[in-house]
Amino acid sequence: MKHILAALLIVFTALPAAAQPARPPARQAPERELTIQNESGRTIVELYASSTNDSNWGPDRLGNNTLPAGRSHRVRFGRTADCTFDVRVVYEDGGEEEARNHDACRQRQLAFDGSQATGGRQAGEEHSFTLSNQHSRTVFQVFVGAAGSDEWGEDLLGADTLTAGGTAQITFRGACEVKLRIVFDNDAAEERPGIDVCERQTVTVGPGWTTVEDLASFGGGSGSGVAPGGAAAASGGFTLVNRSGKGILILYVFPDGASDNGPDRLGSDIVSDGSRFQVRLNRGDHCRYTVRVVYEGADPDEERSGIDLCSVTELVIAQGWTDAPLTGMGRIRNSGSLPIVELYADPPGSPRGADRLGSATIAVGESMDLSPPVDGQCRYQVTGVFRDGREAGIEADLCAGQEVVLQ
Amino acid sequence: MRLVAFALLAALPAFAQDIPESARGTFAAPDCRTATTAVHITARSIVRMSMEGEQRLFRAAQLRSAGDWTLAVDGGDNAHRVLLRGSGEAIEIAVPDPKTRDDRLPGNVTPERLQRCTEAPVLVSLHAEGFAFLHALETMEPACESGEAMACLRGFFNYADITGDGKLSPAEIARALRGATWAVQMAEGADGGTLAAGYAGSALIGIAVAQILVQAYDYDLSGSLSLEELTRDRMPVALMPPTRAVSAAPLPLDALANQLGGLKEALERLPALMR
Repeated sequence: MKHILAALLIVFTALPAAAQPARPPARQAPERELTIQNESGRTIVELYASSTNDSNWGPDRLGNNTLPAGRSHRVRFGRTADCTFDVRVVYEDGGEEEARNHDACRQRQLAFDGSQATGGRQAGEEHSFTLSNQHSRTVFQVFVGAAGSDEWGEDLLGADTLTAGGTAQITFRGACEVKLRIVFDNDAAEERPGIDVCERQTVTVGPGWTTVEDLASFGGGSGSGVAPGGAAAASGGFTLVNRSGKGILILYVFPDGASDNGPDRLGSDIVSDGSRFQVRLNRGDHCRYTVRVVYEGADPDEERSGIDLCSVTELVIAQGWTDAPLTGMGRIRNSGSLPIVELYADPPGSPRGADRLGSATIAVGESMDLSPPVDGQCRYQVTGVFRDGREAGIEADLCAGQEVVLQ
Repeated sequence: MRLVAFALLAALPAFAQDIPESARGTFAAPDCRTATTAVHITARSIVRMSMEGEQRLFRAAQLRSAGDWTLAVDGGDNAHRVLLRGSGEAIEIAVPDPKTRDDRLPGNVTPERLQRCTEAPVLVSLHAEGFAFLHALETMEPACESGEAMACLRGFFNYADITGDGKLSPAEIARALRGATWAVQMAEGADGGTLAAGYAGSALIGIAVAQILVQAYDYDLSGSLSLEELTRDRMPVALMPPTRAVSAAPLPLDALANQLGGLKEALERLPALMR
């Protein structure tokens, strides 16, 4: 009844508005949509998605269609203020995989790689190895293909990148002997066949790795057997700066999409307003994290997902921190009249590298956060390509947490 | 009722050419008798219906050629696109990848081919009341787009007045509200369950709203509303019969959009009432 009265109130209070001076129209709730990427190596035959607030999954969003490996499917939720959605996929072998509480306002893409699938017949045994990048360039994509096959499957790095000196955990299903292909940030690629990932836990790529006779003893091509910076890259952490005006009682830091918040990173400490706290973190192969802050007193908790802790070294908790551009990142805003379909960010004077949007686009009026693609490099020539082919470019500091407006 | 009339128009483009006649009509796959998917195409709209999955109303804000395709673009922030290629007996529809630039269309698309139907498949008939609303909307668009508010309103009034007696009964108002709810839901994309819930909700609430509207503006106590009753004391000064010289100002369309935003919000709440 309360809703009925509210609906009627809206109708009738709106009626006399025509006789009043013109006012700008109220902003509608934005269109919510999510691009589901199948990075599992198996075909998805059913796809369900609904708001976290909705107890029902609703119908199969694929209808009579399927979503083959390596392909993506856009799910539209219409105009809604809801941000978090639950998604469930069913693979051709009957296995199922779910992603709960995905924040579609911050991350409009959601990849299923089959690693969390339950039930069903498994397509090959799961293998995992550590990929160490001893090249001086960032690796954007990693592909593993079956020996003797012409196919590569999907990019196993997904939305992550593998910076120079860093490591990443690569997981796939298939046979032990594979071929490996890596694609750098400048679109250059290197391949090597005949790698037995059951024999070794770490595969090191670096200058000469494609031709070296014994890859097992290959340390990176420059004589260094230890991955410089590798340990730090995998552990790391960040400094939390509290400028919220209130004490922080509990701090959770966990990979995006994790099923639980993990431990309270503050332990028995409380971070008072104006003080700093060093958060220690064993990042492993994750870069994107969710930070949830619980304040003293009755203030509601605050949370932000999609924080790239491979790039962010200092996180300032202040009013509006859940939406503000983060120090260590740049926010790219589309102020044009068409969606931006390609985005390039390269050091000034460098040739144009990969499209930083991947399969995504930036809708009119929307924005996305972008980490500096190259470690230690802050100045970039940022170029957006609108859907009509028009380009807009600007040189910007992507470390300063500033907004870069393309129009 | 003015709110209903303008609710959909608020989101309309200032100008849009029409979808070619050869591409208009009702189409189905795998065939018209056993349709599991159907598309209804009008001058400016594409309604996609499915036995399973999403139902959606696509409103074309822009139309242009892309090779031998007609490209329709909606007016939303994502500027969603649909490609159409029609012949007499069938139509091909494709949704380009959002990444594909306009100058590279159609790109790598997989067109869906649907057969033209001379009789409405069962799947389509479920949407008949919505189609009536859509037809009315497109009929009155020229007047509404040109800012002729009275003509625009009259066009909507004529749609709602199915008995043609010059009065709107609560049932006629409720029907219009159901049509508006359908359009709002379909424009945002809805599965069958949501659509059914919305329809049931608007059926219930629509009649309540209609009765209250009649009670509020039925000055002659006839039990229904005339166009005059609906507009009395409520039209902007410039559109009232001139009694003496006034400085005529154009109809403030953004104020109308405000009104309609309110109605849309109200309509959006209707399905929630059924949960």
